[in-house]
Parts: sequence; C-alpha cells; structure tokens
Amino acid sequence: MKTTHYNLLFRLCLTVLLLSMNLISEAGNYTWNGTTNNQWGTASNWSGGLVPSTNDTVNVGSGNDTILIAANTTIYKLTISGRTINIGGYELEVTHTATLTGGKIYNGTLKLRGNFVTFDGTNTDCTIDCITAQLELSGGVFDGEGSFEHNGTSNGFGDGGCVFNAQTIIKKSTNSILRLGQALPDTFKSRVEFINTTKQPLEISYGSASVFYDLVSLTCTGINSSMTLGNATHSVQLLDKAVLVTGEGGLTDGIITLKGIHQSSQEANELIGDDGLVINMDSCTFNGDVTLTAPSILLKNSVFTGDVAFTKTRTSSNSHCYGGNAFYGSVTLDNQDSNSAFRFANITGDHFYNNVIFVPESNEIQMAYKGNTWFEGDASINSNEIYFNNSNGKVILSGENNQTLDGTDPYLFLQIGNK
Amino acid sequence: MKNYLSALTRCLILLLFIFSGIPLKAQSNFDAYVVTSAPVNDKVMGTMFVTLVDTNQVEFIEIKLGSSDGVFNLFDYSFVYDQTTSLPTGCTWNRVGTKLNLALGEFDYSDVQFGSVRVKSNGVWSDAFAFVTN
Repeated sequence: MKTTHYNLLFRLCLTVLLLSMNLISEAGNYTWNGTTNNQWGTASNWSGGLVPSTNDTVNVGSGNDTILIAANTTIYKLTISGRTINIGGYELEVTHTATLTGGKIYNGTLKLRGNFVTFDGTNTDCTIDCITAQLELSGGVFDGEGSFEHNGTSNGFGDGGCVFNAQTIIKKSTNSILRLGQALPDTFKSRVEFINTTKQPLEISYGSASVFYDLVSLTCTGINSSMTLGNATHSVQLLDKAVLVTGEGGLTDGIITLKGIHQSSQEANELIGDDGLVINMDSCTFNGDVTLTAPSILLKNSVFTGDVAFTKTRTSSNSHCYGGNAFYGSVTLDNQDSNSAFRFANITGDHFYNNVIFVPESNEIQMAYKGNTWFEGDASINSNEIYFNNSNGKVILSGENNQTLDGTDPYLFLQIGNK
Repeated sequence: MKNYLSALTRCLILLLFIFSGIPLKAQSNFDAYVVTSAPVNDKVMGTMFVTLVDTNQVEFIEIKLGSSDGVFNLFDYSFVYDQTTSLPTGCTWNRVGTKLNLALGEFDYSDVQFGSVRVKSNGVWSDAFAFVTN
C-alpha cells in the first residue's frame, strides 16, 4: 500500500518535471538569416528553423533586407541592431525585454511590455505603446505617435539623442527616477506631454539642451512628486510654437522646476496648479506671456519679455522668491492666500521695466524684501497688504519718464533709493 | 456705578476678543528666511536669519529644512537660546537684539527648500513659520 503511494507520487513528480522541462525547452533563441524570403512567418528564415513564438527571443542583426510581418505577433524578447522590420499594419508585441539599438521598425504598432525597454538607435515609424518597468530613451528617431510609461522600481536613465517627430506621451508612474537627455539633447518636433504621478522626479533634459517645437504639457499629481525641465549648465530651447501648458491630468501636487529654459517664440505660457504645487523658475527666459497660478511660486534670475501674471493661491507656506528677475512686460500680482506672504527679492533685487499692478484685495505681498529693486513704470496698489522693504532692500524709481503711483491704498515704503 | 463698571467690563472683554482674533501673519514682525551658498559637489552652506517678536523667556529656536513638503531631510535642529557652544558641526549662534543669524553648516543642495521655524517660550512652542524658497 505504502509502496503504491510512493510510486504514484514519484510518477507525478516525474510528470511535472518533464512538463516543465518541455516548457523551458520551448523558449528558443532565434536569429534572422532570411535565407528563404523576407517573411517573418517562414521557419527557414530563422536560425532555429522555427518561427519565433511567445516564449522566444528574437535577434535581428545587421543587413539590408526588410522583414515582413503578416499577422499580429508576440515574442518574449527582441534585440534589433540592424535591418528593417515591416509590421505590415499589424501589432508586434514584446512581453519581456526589448533592446533596440539599430535598424528600423515601421508600419503598425510596436507594443512593449515587461521588465526593460531601451531605445538606443532603432528608428521607428509606427505607433509605440510602451509600458515597462524600466525605460531608457537613449537614441532613435520616432516618426510615429508614441506613449512611453516607466512603472518599475529601478531608475530609468536615458542618455538622450532621441528625435520625436510625432505626438508623444512620456509618463512615470512609480517611485523611481525617470531621466531623459542625460548626455545628449532630445528633440521634440510635435506635442509632448510629460506625466508624473508618484514620488521621485521625472527629469527632462537632465544634462543637455533639449529642443521643443510644439506644445509641452506638464501633469504632476503625486504627493511629493517632482518634475524638472532643464538643468543648470545647458539652455533648453522652446522654439517655433513651443509653450508650456498644464496637462490634461492637471498640476495638483509636487514641485515643477523649470531651469535654464529659453523660449524664442512669443506664444503664451500658462501653468495652473492647485493643492500643494510649487512652481520654481530658475534662470529662464520667456519671450511669450507667462501666467502662473499655484499655491507657491518661486522666481529666480529669470527674464520675462512678455506680460506676466502670478497668482499665489490657497493656504500654504510663505513663498520666498530669490530675486534677480527682469520683467519687461506688465506684471500683475495677486496673493489669494490669507495666511502667508508672497515675497519678492528675498536675496537679491528684481527689475520691473514696465507697469506693476497689484490686484484689488490681494493678501500680503512683500516687494524689494532684501534686494534693491528697480521700478521703471507705473504702479497701482489696491490692497492694504502690499509692503516694501521689509528687510534692507530699497525701492528705486528709475523710469525715464514720469511714473505714477496710484490705486486705492497706501504705499508702505520703508526705503526709497536713487537710480 | 455698578452699571458703569459692568459696561466697562463688557468693553474690555469685547476688546480682548477683538485683539485675540487678529491672526499671526508675517507683519507681526516675526520673520525668517534662509540663504544658501552656491552648490559645490551638490552641497551647500546654509544660514538662517530669524527676527523674533521679543526675547522674553525664549528657550529654543527650532529650525527645519527639507527638499519636499513636510520632509525635513536637510537640516533639523533646535538651538538653545543664546547657547554658543556645543553646537552641531558648522552651526553657530549669533544674536543682536531680536535678530538671529544662525549658521546651519553643510547640507545637500536642493532646488527648492521647505523651511519651518518655531520658538519655544515659557514652555510653549509657537506655531511654525513655514516657507518655501529657491
């Protein structure tokens, strides 16, 4: 009786072992040689003599031929360093790893899932639907629309050098860093939306001077999330129609840092945020109008050629702007936060070349806090909570023509300096 | 006479209520801001400037700095009032009247700093003066 039981157990284990071996042995490694024709589905075109299937790894190396896919196709891993794959209007799905270092993929949908996707030189002219644990954007020309999502715990550091010619969405939905343009600039010739829904930063143009030609939408929704566009050593270019706008998902939390951005166009920029959002501008130049609405707005060493309107909303912390900013257009300031102040020139002075309007019933705004601040246009104060020179900054009225200080409320100057 | 005293008491109580309802804002003379040096190897030196409302019975000044809201990962220390020795590395205490100049030593660079300053007087901590700065 006992022996029969052991026998049965032994046979069962043996069966499971054989089945698993069989499954493992089905995962093959296939290299394209194209000896028969250009059809993906012809077995003799592959090194293993079988058409690659869902558990298989596919290698496509250098060559001049074009591989034609004639049906929806799923494989486990793809490595392509040369040749061209014509998806034929179908879908090519890679479920685990895609290493795309050369060649071209076009005409259909490239669906990428699984652990790791690196774009490092493969050109594409197809729709890209990519959701992967670790994403690296390190090269390639993308002529089709693309959606790229990084959702794993390992950081995705992309070297850059990518050219996106069609509409693109780049999203980070996990607590790890997604970095773009680490060494080389990326180029976005069509609309792009950047989305961060979680902690840890989404770093765009991290170490290079990326170029944008169309709408740049920003969505940031995770508590303590952050998004940085630009860096301290290179100038990110907003050319042609490029402007910064709030993405469809909104700006509801986190820190948006815009650093070293240069906008050549005169299109208007508008970022409107809520809840705990901080918008931080450092060393930027905007030729278009700029409207910022957020609980915390921080400005540092930036130049605004167009008209600007800054509104500090909701109850939050005091906003202390570093200063060093130049405003060539009109400036409209409003603080809707009754519990904290909106401070300018916290460290160094600002220069207002045009008129400054303080919105009626604004809460506390502190101007020329510590840095000497130049005003060349008229000012209109319609709130009794506009303070000047709380620390040792001076107000310098330096207009070439007569300047008018009007409005309904008093001017609380502590120090007025000369030109 | 009794009615007169009663009216006076009511007036005093009314005034007390009116003044107790005034919120503590930046213009109450309490102020604080931080200055950091240019980053070197992603490290900065920080100095906190604090203006107290008065110096009576002040025991501690708590300074916190962080790189994100509510996370004080850059600096977190409570200075004992007027104690200039036995401070953490890089920290110093300087006071002239109600103005404090507190060196905070070296900490990590952050594009944005979230600060919180509280004062303990007569055994009671004040509300935090919170700011975000670049």
